[in-house]
Amino acid sequence: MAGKKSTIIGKAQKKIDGIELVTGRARFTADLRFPQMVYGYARRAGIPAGKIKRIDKEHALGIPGVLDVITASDLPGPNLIGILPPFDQPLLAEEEVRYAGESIALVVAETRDIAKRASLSIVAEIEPLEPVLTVDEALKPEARKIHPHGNITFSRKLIKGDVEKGFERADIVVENTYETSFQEHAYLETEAVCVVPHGDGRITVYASCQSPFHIRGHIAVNLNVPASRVKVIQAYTGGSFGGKDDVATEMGCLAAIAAIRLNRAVMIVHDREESIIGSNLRHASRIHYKTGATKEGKIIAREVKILLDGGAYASESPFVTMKTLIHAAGPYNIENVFVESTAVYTNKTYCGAFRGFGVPQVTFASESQMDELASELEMDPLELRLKNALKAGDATATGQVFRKSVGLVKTIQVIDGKRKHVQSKKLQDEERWLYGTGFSCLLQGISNGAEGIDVVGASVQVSQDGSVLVGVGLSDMGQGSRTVFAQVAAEVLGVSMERVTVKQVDTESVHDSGPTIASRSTTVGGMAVLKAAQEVKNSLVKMAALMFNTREEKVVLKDGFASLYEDDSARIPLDKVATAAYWNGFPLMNLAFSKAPDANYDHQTHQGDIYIAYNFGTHMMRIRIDRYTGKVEVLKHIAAHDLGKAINPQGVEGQVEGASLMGFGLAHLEEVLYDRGIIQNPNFADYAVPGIKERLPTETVIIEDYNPTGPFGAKGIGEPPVAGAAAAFANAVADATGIRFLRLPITREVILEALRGKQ
Amino acid sequence: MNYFFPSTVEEALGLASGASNPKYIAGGTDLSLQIRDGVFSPDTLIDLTCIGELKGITETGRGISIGAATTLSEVADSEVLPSTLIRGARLVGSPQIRSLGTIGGNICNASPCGDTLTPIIALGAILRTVSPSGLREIPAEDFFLGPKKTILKEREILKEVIIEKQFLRGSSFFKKIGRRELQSISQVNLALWLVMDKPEGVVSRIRVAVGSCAPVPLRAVKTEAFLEGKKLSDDAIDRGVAVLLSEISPVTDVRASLSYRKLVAGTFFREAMKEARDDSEA
Repeated sequence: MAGKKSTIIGKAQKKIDGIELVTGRARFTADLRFPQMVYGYARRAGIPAGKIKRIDKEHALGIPGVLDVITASDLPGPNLIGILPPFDQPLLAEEEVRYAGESIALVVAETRDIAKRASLSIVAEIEPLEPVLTVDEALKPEARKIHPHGNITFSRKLIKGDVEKGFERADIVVENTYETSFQEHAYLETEAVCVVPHGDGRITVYASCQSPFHIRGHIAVNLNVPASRVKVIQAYTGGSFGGKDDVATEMGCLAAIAAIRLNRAVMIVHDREESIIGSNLRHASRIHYKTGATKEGKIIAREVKILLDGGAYASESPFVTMKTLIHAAGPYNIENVFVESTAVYTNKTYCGAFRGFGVPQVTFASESQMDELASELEMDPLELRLKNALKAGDATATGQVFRKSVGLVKTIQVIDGKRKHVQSKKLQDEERWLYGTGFSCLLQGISNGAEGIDVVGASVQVSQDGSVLVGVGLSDMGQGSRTVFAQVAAEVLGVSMERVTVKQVDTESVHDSGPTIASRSTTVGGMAVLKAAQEVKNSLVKMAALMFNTREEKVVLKDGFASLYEDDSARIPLDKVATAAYWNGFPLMNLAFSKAPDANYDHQTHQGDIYIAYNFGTHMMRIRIDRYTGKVEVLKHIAAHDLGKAINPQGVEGQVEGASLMGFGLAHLEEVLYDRGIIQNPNFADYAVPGIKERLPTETVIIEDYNPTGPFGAKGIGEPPVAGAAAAFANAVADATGIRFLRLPITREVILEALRGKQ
Repeated sequence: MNYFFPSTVEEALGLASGASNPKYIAGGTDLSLQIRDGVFSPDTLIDLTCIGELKGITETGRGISIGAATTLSEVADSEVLPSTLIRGARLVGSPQIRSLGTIGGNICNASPCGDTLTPIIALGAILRTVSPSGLREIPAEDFFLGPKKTILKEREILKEVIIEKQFLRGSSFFKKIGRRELQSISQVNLALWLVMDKPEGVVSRIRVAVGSCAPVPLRAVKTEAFLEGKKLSDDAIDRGVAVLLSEISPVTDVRASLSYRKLVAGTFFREAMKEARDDSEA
């Protein structure tokens, strides 16, 4: 029946790669074996700052089984990696060491154990420099410069209206300074690459990664070979969350150089410790907020100053800085906004992309302010948020106006409707337990936006048997994008999910689509698949119309058949149509592009159009705290997000639950502890990621406010809940204890000490 | 490196005396990491998990004997052991670690935060060891000398953990906190064993041990002495808490602060004492 509701889009689908992943049949990079494969292991600096005087390889080279020791002077290319300007990071430190986890040499040996042991026997003479360990130290005028251009990585301002005048009119002003700590991605699978040389100058790189084309580009440059000789295959990737970008290029380049030197396959797999000390973290932050409102609760001015500790190298600090700048005002309609955001170098592990990309830090601070303001105004926290919520037609902090798909109010209302029930639950043993409820609202830009041009290329190919092959240059690292791409193609071509295959990402068979970041896969990638599938559909419909001897608009593709609108008993199997189309020379493959409109804004004030859409959300967390141990139990967590259209509701739930748990980790458990520039807890015994008992009782509420820029109206959901859950947790703790905590994580210990201080 | 699987204790001792730098291994969940990190570099590993007499939980005339190579999951699943030890074993690491790790390994690793260490001290356990010079019996509270240091001599094997009959009566408790709920390292743990004199409602015997609050799991002898013979009023318990806090000496480290450890140790002791009182009144 024509016009019947889709059985694919908007229906819960199992992940198309789920079975092999849960049964262990999927082979991750470290599972791969090639003839005569050898292993690389990096020697790390061990001190946070110093001048490299000498690296003596001789002893290591004498160890049986050691094949090669590579230092900076052996590198054939520019010894440079980095995702974006200022491209300041070497593969191997050459003259100066800038963080303790930095690689200074790579040992290659017959076994991983030998390589590791030999790496420790390298004699490295590094003359220590006084490390610059805090943002405050780094910003002092007399501070030692970590890089020639100084200690400020990137700094920008956002100016909307006149914030001074706004504060003059304000009846109430709240002001506070907040901090967040470094966070580790803690994916189940540590970073891994394997490079296989082919003897003809070509190499194949297998990598656990999220941006295969970045790796290809960096390897080509650092090996001084054409990119066309480098093939990168994204192996099954056990989580990435922003983490397997810079470090994957570092490892890929080193393994490739070693593979070429030895003409053998080279595998590099990180230990957990290397994964923590030697790849990027989430930026620690210190954020000052000042919010002014009328006595009716209308926010009229917001001033925010953000300092991000970016560690030793730029990595994605510039973009994270931009993202904090754009999101600091929160999802509110505020006339006057001033934000200044600055990323700073320190002699610590570099910081870069991490699910949420700066938004969790500012959302925690911003939403704490909202509650502080509500309390000053003696107003209900949700009412205050509702009063200021962005609506369609309002201007965001950058002055961008969305006419559609601004569903924040609906997310607030749905939470408001549910809170009574949650809060009315009977309290047990009130003497011991402190009960509290926290709310948060957030927005998160979808697509690269101001961070760069956003293009995805997708191919759709229909075989003569009517089956469909989809290729997109974006990586699935667990988030379920392959399933979404399959759904989009299946929907357009009227076939079942089983008839669709999505390619493994391989730089020789899919189009460069940029990095898999910014919650853009479904929105921008899905749109490219939609376009390509529609082109192929046109061929099939044209062929079917000829076969039916009717007009094209009379033909529909569904359930694996081409049929007639009026009478779907008149139908031809798709394989017959596809075969005929092939013989008639109608193209059955298409490569289509989805290009987000370029961001268009003033670079001094950041006023203008930045993103193609925002995801909006409201979270509520009900907790209780054991006043004698500081232990927190989350009793209920509701996450309502406007994501335009849920292509795969089951995938949405997975993303919301997973991202919320990461936010909870940031807010309650996780902290990278430094002592004089050395990470003290580079393991999962002392760095506490959430365990199975911490799984949140999350209820996902999907709000669908159609987004015209995404396929079927969809917007991304991969990142936004991190910020929502972290901020709601902080507000719930404040509600339960009557104490405002200004720094994440708010651990059991922090809570108990504060409760004791209050007594 | 040589790796041996002896099937008797004598064979294990013989292998050890023939090696220049041997190390005994059971589950290896701690030791293999220490070897990886270069803390130990043995030339010979002697695996004790195939020695029948080191395995299993047996009731004897003296009480209960736990073979040192009994896995933590067997201890955790036991129906005959006192609850403080069962609970401690249940909270060590993850199911995978408990399936491999052994009680003897947990004890010989001598971490101040080991979750079976405070229970065996509270239960007055006797540790039987064997070496070429013969058998020794060491009270658990004397076994630990410092972090990762025990009274064991080189090549000496911990054979069994004996819990005597007198400690099988009464009630016992175990409390623990870490950064997260499971698979966490104790920031503080506490084990309590006590016998109430029912008609009088007074404490007739009590033993308390606190973990992660000193270089070794610590028996709180002053606290015990203070409470023995006392009626368990709220006031007596509070004063007992004060005594306990005066005799532990936690430090601030990467896992927790001194003050947090004291706060929680006090909470745990108060809680455990109240539970014990409720038990005896029930």
